[in-house]
Amino acid sequence: MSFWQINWSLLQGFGNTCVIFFVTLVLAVPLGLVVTFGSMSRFAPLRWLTRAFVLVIRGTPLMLQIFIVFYVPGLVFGISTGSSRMIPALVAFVINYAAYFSEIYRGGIQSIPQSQYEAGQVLGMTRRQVFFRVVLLQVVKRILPPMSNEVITLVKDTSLARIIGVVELLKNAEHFAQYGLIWPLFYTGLFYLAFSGLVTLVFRWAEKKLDYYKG
Amino acid sequence: MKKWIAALTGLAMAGMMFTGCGAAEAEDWEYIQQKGTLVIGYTIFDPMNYTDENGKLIGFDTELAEAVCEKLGVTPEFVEIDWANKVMELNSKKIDCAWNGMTILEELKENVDFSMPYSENYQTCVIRKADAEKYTTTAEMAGARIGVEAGSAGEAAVQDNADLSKGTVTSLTAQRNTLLELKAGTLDVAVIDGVMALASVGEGTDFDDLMVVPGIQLSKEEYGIGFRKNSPETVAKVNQALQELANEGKVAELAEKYPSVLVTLEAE
Amino acid sequence: MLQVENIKKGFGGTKVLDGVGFTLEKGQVLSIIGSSGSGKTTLLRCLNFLETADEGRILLDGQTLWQTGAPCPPRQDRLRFGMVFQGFHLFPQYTALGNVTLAPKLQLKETLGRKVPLERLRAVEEQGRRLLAQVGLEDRINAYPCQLSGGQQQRVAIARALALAPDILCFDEPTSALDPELTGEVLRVILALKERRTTMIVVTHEMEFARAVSDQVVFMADGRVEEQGTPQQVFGAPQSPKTQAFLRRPGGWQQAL
Repeated sequence: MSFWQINWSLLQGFGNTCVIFFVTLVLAVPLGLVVTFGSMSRFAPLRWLTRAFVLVIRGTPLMLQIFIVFYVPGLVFGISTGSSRMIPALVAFVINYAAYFSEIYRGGIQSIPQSQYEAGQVLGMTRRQVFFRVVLLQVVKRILPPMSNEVITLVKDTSLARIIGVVELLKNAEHFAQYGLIWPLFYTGLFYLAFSGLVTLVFRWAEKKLDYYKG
Repeated sequence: MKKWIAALTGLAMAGMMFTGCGAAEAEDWEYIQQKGTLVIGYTIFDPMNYTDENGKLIGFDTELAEAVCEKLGVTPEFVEIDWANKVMELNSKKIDCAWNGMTILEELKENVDFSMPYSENYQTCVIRKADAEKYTTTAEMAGARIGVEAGSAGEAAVQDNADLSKGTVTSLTAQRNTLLELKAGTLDVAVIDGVMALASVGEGTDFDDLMVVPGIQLSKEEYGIGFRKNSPETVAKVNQALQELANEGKVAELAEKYPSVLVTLEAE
Repeated sequence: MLQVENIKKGFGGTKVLDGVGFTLEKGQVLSIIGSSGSGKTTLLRCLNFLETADEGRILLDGQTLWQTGAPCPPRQDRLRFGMVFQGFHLFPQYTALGNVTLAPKLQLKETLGRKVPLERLRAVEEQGRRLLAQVGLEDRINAYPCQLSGGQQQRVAIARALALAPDILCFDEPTSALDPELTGEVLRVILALKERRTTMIVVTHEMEFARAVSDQVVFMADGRVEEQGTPQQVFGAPQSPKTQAFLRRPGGWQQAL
């Protein structure tokens, strides 16, 4: 196999890596906000429930969560969840990342001084309006650095999907390794590095974009 | 919530450890027939399942599975799995069988139903053709210089054998190196995989001056197909299909195509 | 006319307001003075419904806005009071004009639905420009709060409060967070508002200013109104020993000159 054929083959695996990355991001970012609202709810049982959920998700390995989502419905309940391996992997990733994002959001929201809410309140704005029109963008600015950290972790975590047989970049490279062709395995590092680099640039751009104000 | 999660996780763990609590129902065959596909778990294992230069999945097990599925009227669907998770994959119905040169082990029979054995593997002794008269039994090799691969099944077989373990045993880094040393005269006997020995020595190979000692089969293993526990009908159907394929000559044809597979399934 | 009667408010076991009451005629300015912890700020917060008082009654033009036991009144009633904070509390991601027009625009959207006619939005922006010009910031309309000095930020905050046309505008120590050289520009804006006959309640430590701007002065101590009257009465001839002591102390009004 030529260098370019191997590159082409790895790119196909990389396609799945990108699917895991983008689907997780697109779904976990808003879902995380829902979890945040739950964990900051004034209704205590909902708050406890959500915080326990976050504790469990953050306190157990993502790999184990992938196993549970994939195997447990069939093992324990005898439910057949279809032959897709990608979808259970995505479910586990979205749940896991929503929990992590929710804590970043919570930290961001709680760092906004109460006075911003009061300023909105005396101007007759509803809680909703204050949150979406005043607080949210300030939160976004504050959470960009920790979010970029988490998103870069996601780039590399995508490789965990291979444990339930999702053919992504690393599994694709392992395939070559089984035929004695070892270098593609290490070569994948370049793909991850380039991807993380791109993510870093996007976040830097966003931070710059929000640099027009302070606070 | 925490208790509930703990209970669920506990249940899941129990499910994974004690396998098949209700997961494998009696109507396994009906389930497979209904969906019309047989999902086959495999790993890359030459010559059983591997890809050719065009990326197409071939191999003895691949082609045999395709033939069996054709007989059963279901579509084969090959899924590359993590071999360590095969029992979990079966019980959670992610795959319907594990078909990948799977050794039939007593320990596994508690959790897996096996088909009839269709091929085998064993450790065998290779010597120089010149020594054909000298070494015909393991007893005669008790004082010989014996080579094995470190950590291999061959090494274990030598240690377990009362005669061979008396020899001067050298552990090398690869099975192939034992053949090189044998040829070079620094060893007298090499104990290696039967599959490899048959494929590597004799006429038309790099080692045409070496030979396998006939009649010595150490730590013999049989290969079968693994199914969910308590799926007798599925096993029966597959066994029947295998036997028919043997009777029709299909199995012999595959054995010829993949000569290193030690096929044991014969026409009745 | 604003009538505030017998307002009581405690936090936990601490009584912060212990029966405060006063009246304020339309178009007049009331200054509230007193040492820290006397309950001045809490009183303003109760009037703006940032806190709900435990007891009392608030009437505006004879209509009861709130009384003991009632929940927080509806928005149109709350908006009859405007508030300027000590720390400005501008929205950092909006320009000066954006800060002034945000709340009016949201109100338009609420009443007219998603599709607000462009001319209505333009009218709000026009009003915002006019208000910013009124506080002397016509050239800083598109500046962000971080680009403005403290005095300028406080003037934006005043324009922002004025945009909702409150009946009574409350100031909570509007110059306390400012460098001394910047207090003048804010105080001049408040004086100009008095010229326009804006009804105002000003909590302040600037005694000279209180004397100049007020029609009425309230001196608070320990959650009560200790003394009230015209500036001449309170500053010129204080009756209560507490008032006398407060006005005599170093850093009192003579020094603020």
